[in-house]
Amino acid sequence: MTADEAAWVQRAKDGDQAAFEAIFQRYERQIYSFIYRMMGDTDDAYDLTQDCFVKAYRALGRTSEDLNVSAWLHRIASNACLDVLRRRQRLRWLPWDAPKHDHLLISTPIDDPERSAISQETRVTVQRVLDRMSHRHRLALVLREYEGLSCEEIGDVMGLSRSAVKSMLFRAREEFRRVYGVVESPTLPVARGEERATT
Amino acid sequence: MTCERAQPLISALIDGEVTAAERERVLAHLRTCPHCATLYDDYRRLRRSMRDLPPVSPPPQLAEATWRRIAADGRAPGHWRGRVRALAGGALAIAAALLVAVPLGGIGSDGADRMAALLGRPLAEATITAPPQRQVVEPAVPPTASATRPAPTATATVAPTTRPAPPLVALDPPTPSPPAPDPPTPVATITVVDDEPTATPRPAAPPRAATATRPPATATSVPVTRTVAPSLTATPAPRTAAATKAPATSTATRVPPTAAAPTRTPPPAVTPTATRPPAPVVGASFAAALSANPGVRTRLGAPIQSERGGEGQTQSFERGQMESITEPKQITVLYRDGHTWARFADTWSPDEVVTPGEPPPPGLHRPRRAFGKLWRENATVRERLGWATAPDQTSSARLQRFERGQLVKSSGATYALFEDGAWERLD
Repeated sequence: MTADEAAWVQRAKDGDQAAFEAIFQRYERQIYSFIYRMMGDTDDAYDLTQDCFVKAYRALGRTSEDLNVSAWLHRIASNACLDVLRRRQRLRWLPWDAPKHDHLLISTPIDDPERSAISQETRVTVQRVLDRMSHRHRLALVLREYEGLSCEEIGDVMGLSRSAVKSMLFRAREEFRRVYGVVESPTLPVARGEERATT
Repeated sequence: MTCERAQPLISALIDGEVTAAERERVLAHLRTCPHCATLYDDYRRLRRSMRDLPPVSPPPQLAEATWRRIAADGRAPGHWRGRVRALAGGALAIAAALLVAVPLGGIGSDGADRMAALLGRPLAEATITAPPQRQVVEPAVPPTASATRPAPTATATVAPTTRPAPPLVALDPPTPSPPAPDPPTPVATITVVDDEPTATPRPAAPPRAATATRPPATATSVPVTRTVAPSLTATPAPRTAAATKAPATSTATRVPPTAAAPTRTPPPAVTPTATRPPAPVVGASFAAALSANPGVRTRLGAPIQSERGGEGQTQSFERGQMESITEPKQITVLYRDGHTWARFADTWSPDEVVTPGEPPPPGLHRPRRAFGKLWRENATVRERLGWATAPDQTSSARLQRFERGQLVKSSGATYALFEDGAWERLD
């Protein structure tokens, strides 16, 4: 935690709303992006980012002195995502709606059509694969590879030991490879990732 | 070491989570097992492809919506008041069950009152230092300078990108692990390049403004000479060919703007008339507005630059508005008092936190991000504009420069900004 953050946390605990807003501004974009990668939907990202910061605001007074704000916010956001995903899994599985969301994955300037096309295709595919993975594997992979958290930080977020995180990352990478093979081979009838998601 | 034992360690190797002894054993295995070498490549491609995913910008109204919910919640941050309220609520339920009359007034209202008080009182300044805002264009430029005005910085729009080459996502379909033990003789030479050689945790993450803030994806790969495994080499052929072509056409051939600038001044004497560039004409976005306002056209003079555009932001204030455009990165402030305008450099970057200050009065808004930074740091702007009357909005913006001013179109409105510092809305 930076000195700035420590000061903001302390002031926010004392009821200074402006200090909490500074924390919000620093992490708003990161948490929103993280939730979007977990959920694959901007509406979910919009709602769950709000949930995350409202919960954080309520819980701030019970945090320790050496709070790691980034890991703490990721933990709250992760739990919010997993709660929603679990709830939806009990109801029905929502498939990736490519026409609705694909344009959101494009942010490369159109200065090199060939490169942009490759990047866009890659990004869409990666997000599709993520959306079909089991929730906890997806979470571990997004935290490690997209957010760049260390195994120790992922352990803090997911409530796992470091060795358990290593094991989960291995399984997550294997699942990614397996689902990727399915996504890239539309002739295969059923994806194992989809089977898992519908149960 | 068998493949079954090696594969979890390959994943850990990618994360820098192996001991020195494990590392040596895994590397020895990778040198002799093409299947696991491919797995290692796949894991590294997976990393690159995920780190290349762009951050997604939150909508501008997210902050307002969050604060409305926090204010409506009425609780201080994890404060004892919240717990006291919960306890009071429980006691109330018990009392109600026992049909004991309880004066309801006042219970549960202190939190909301406290939030209202919070919103109403000035808040202390936080301690963020930022470079002072630099005003780059003063509107009151002498009219005679039209011919020698600095040309619009078109070259600034072609800054070479420093993004790494796009990742190759050519992961092979899963293949079963060969159960056989390690071959006795090496079949490949392998050099392992850890993406993150140490297991030190990343420092508390600053907000990621763009993919450039992430650890760059290295373009190195394992130079392994594969002699077997046809299933591993069959899949990625077309994609690999396309992807490896990309860097050569994007970053390598792009001319830096600093090098291009001097070549744009041709020798005047030898230019034949046939090769003269055509004079700029009034852009399509502005033609109708100028036709309807001939006085404005006369006042502006002839266009000296073609129309151009980009993403812009706009925000309305009590006594004016702010407009920004991405290229060039500038903020234009339109004051309604006196109908004058001023332009400022946009020095805000997405990883920069603009310290909030005094909360806005009810129904008004505090500008955020780039507008917020200028508004907070420039007292004149703040006092002349007042509070924002709505959140900032993203829109497409168009701009064209003329001899004695410029036209700006944003959010459907067209503004003429004259050289003498005045502005006028045309539609």
